Amino acid sequence: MEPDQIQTLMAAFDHTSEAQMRDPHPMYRAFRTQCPVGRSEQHGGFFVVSSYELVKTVFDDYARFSSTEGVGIPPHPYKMLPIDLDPPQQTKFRRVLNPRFTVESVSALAPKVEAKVHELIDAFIERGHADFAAQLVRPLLPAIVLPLLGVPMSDQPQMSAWIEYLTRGRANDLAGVAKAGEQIGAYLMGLVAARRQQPPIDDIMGLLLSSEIDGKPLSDGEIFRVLLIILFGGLDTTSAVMLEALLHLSRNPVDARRLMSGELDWARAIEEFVRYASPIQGLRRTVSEATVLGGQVLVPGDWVFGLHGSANRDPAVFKDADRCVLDRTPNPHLGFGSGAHICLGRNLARLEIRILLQTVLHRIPDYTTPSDFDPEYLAGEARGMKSLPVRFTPGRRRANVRSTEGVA
Amino acid sequence: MPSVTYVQSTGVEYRIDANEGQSLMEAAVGNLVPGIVGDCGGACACATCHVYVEPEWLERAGPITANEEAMLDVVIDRRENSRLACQLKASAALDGIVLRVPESQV
Repeated sequence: MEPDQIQTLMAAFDHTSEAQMRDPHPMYRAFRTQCPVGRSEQHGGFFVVSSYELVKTVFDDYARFSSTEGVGIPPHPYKMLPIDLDPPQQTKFRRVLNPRFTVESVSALAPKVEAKVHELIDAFIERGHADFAAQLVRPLLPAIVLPLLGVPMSDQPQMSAWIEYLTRGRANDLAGVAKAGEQIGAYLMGLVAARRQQPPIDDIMGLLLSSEIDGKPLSDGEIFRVLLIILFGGLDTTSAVMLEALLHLSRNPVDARRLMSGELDWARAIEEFVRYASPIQGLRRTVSEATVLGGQVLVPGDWVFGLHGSANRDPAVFKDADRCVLDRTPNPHLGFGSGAHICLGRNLARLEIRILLQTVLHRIPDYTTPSDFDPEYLAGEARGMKSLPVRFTPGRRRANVRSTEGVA
Repeated sequence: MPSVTYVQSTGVEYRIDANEGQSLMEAAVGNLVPGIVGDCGGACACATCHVYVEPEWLERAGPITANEEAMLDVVIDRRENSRLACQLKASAALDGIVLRVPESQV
């Protein structure tokens, strides 16, 4: 590509464009090889960082590349905690939250995840066809995350419906999406206030209500901002990896067989699915001191967008980077981010992904996607498949399980 | 290869051979030493590789940078000999160093 062509392509780069993000990898390759720090003129203008080494620098060096001005492009309407902080202030919030997200802590949720996956599969297994996105993956995650946050059972269907609307409506109804967002915000604020008046409950809300930072209890607003990122951080992202993995396994049945036989290691395979899907394609940092990155002069206030999605396909680090190689090792991917803000919920995500894939392969081993299936993606910082239609030999519901069809 | 000993709060010792230049966080994580988490991958940004350096090694461990100082402020139970293992590099000078792992890291 000629230098002026790459500049033009870069100037037009917009991660919120579904057309550009349907298959962004040829574009990323051009960025990495010709312009690893370039300038997009979209959304007010920002620098785009695409090589593994420089993306890692941006997310590791919080002294130069700060999160305190927000991490989305365009900026998100709410400040969220602790994602919109830098260490050491950010670290204090992580200290409070980390114990709930260790491998040991999240493993207690395994039976619940498994039961929910079974329940969702029961609702369509007799039919021989389904949309894995709408009927399995998207309804699964709120069912796990909402109780964790302290949303009572009676309110979960309503919250799930708002969340589903947020995800589905993004493509065509921004006003409706904003309204659903406001409803979720108002609901969570009300929930925080109500919980202050109630006896303590041992969940994340309870943890936040009883914790102190700098010797002071968290305010309602702070708790709300933490709940928001935990809620939204774990939905679209985990879905994106699950759907990409399900598609890969339908197209590569040998991989599915090798996973089920134990020939391939699940933990390693899941890291590769995370790398390959890169559920967060990129995030923003704001330059806080004059610096140079990859030869590009940056001044305080400049927006820098580090592309995890491109870094994870950088051939300087990953051999056969565009192939999903389930026994890839080592696999130093940035799919969960890098540095201080590395995904808080990554151990829960790994657990959810493994249980979902194992259960699907066990109960619906012959599912296939249409041979001409060309996935469409929701675009934004998070990128995930909109739908995943599958066909399979109808199976039987588990005994004594009531249908949950219609649960959003 | 410089040898490093990580002593758990239970008294159990893990003695490993680190690669020259490798951080003592990476050496611990790579050898599955319990209690050293290293969430941020060594960017001095998460304070989950906190260790207590045995006093006789403290001086040889070198100075604390401003970044490390800021992060040490948020570890659980900071003491005079607290350091972040990601900021200590395996070297001949530290061959034989003994680090104590705090009871809780997260």
